[in-house]
Amino acid sequence: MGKKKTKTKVIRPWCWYCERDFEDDKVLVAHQKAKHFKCSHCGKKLTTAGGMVVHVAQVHKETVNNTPLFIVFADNSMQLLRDPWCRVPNALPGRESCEIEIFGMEGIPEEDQIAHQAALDAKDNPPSKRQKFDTGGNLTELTPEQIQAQLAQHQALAQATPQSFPPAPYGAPAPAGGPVPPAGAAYSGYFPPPRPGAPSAAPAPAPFPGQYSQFYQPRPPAGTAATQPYRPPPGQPYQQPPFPPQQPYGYRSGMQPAPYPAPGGPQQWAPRPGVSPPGQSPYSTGSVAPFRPPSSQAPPTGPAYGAPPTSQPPYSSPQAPQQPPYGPAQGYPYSQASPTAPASSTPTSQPPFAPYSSGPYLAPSSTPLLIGTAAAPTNGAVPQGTETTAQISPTEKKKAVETLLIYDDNEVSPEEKRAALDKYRYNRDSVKQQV
Amino acid sequence: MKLVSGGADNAARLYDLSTGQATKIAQHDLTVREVRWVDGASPIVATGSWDKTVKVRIGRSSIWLVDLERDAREMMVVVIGYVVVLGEAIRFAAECITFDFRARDSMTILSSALYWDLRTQQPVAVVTLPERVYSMDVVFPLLVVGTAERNILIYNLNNPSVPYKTLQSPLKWQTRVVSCFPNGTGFAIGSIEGRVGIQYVEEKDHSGNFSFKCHRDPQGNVFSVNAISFHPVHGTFSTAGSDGTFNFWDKDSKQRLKGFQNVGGPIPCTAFNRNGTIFAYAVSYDWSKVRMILGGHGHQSALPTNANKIMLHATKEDDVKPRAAKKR
Repeated sequence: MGKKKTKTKVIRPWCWYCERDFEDDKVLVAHQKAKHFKCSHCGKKLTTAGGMVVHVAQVHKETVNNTPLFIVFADNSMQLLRDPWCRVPNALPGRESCEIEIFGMEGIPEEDQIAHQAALDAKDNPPSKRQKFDTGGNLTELTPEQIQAQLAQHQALAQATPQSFPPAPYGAPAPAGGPVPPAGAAYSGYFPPPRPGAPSAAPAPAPFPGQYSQFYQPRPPAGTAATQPYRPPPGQPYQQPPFPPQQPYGYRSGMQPAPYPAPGGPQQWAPRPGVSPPGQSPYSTGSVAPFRPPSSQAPPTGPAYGAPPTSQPPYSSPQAPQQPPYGPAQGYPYSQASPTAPASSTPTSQPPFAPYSSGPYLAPSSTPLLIGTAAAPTNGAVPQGTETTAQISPTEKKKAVETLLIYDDNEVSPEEKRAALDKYRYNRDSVKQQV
Repeated sequence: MKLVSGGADNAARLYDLSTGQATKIAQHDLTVREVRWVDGASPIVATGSWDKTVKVRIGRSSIWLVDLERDAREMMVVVIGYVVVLGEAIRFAAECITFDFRARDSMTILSSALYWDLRTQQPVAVVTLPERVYSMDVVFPLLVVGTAERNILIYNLNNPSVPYKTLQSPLKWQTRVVSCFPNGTGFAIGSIEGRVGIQYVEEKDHSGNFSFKCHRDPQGNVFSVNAISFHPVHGTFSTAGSDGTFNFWDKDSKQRLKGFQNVGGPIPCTAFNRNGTIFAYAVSYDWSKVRMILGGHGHQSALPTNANKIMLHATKEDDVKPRAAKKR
């Protein structure tokens, strides 16, 4: 099958910092010099990250300064106040360390090489094929009765959690996914277990091929993995894909301003109709108590959210300050919504959420315990305090450097929007009467 | 030297640059969406408006009117193109494109191209288009129509009733503008996502197709490309965007010839003069700040303080002349 082919396939040279692959080493080195080892002060291209650090320190006299770097909250979560002084530009989250000397393909940590290979494999093997491995047998081994029973079980589950994500994008249609365990561990059905023999760093199929960064997410300890196997789909890595097809042609904004009321705060807005907000926990009705969305996009659901500043937040986003301040004037594009988001969810019943509220808005709701200056986590991998501490979501961080469309409605042109205003509604007869 | 402009004051005006006089040449009941100028012994100015009429002025006096009200009660004239056809049969044809704008609830999109002979009262030909038209451009015999849903229709005006080619836009976002090469071998296409594609018509030239990013700022904001104008002599072209900047490019050597600073507001429209010594651009709000997050109307940014002006830029020969490709 396809597996053999991928094994023999030669790995193209790839850049550890941004997971891009290249034609040959020369191009890769040129890319690294231009993208990752370029001095942010003068644009000089250095050969390695270490060289860049030395250059910045010697030429531009920039060293570690003493302003507070992060705040530690009562629950041991941390929030960065400023960028660590040295980061490799344009690198993926967790790959920004200047301490690892990388030149071309040399110096890449072995586990990352394995993960890269695994990601390539996962990309080449469509999840549907993988499914056969995962279930440990082909589907015909099940008797029709068994299938019926599982189907019923699944339907019952689906009714219990009406907002659950459709299984399709995760490659595991539940009826075929072997015996579905009841309630508690049900969600693992949506995320097939790793293929036997696959490196543990790589969860089996890549639901979003090409997005390797998910493989480098700090993984929870094995014990907790069973209870939180599900990770909300990362946001769109790039804004290119058009709107989800279920979006009907129409003038959402022009014709129905109601779903977008002026929100209470400038940092809050209601979810877009028809698209479930990424990270909005669909499990609030489920029975998996310890589940917590591992991304800072998703505020905790429940009454505590939006409560006055006295309440202790379950977690805070350590990396929030690294995002550019999305002011109200340039809010987050809706086009970020994942196309896999279900259209059937009913966001109107959900509370408004602030997926991209930046750090300063989280801070007042927390009690800073101590202010750290030293031990800058230069690689961006923020230490995890407790198990409930929010995990870093690579895509979240990636978005910070991503582009933002000023005009983001792919369906309707600006002129149409303007012409839709009542002012331009044209009725020949009324004009004639006026004349 | 003359300059024609039309706008939301429902009028099209002709500015004589040598005397500084402005003459109103067309009055519509609603915003003038498009103005086209056809050079010649008796120049033709065609204006299309949201009031569903197209007015064509030939020479000094005669005004020829296409009233689409009867056919297009709920439609809107969005773009008009023009073409001059030599020969006795059709002296001039103007296409106007309409689309069903108000009846969107019923999801019926009726969009068509009409070819007119100025001597008759009925269109010579009517072509139904798949989607709402966003932009079109003509360099005889090439007519390119960019519609919603990223469709591109290419017509050969020697046989204008059937599309010569239909393709999907090479860009992944909404088509904002199409503009034909002066030699008619291809066209440039700009999208709302700060990107321009260069597309050749014929298959054999497709190796020359490419696209590039532009009109973005270092903060990661991506602006739409509003206008692309080709230099009539050199074949280089300009792009202008909602970010209020414009650039001159050379598509053959794939490099930017000249970039310009923000001019104080979005640039919705640009044009070169006949020999390319003057580059005219309009500065006005283009309704691009219509983020759905902000309520999606766009008028929040339509401030009375916004600039509304037409600027004329004397082009430097070095800025518009093709340049040899850079050695890498």
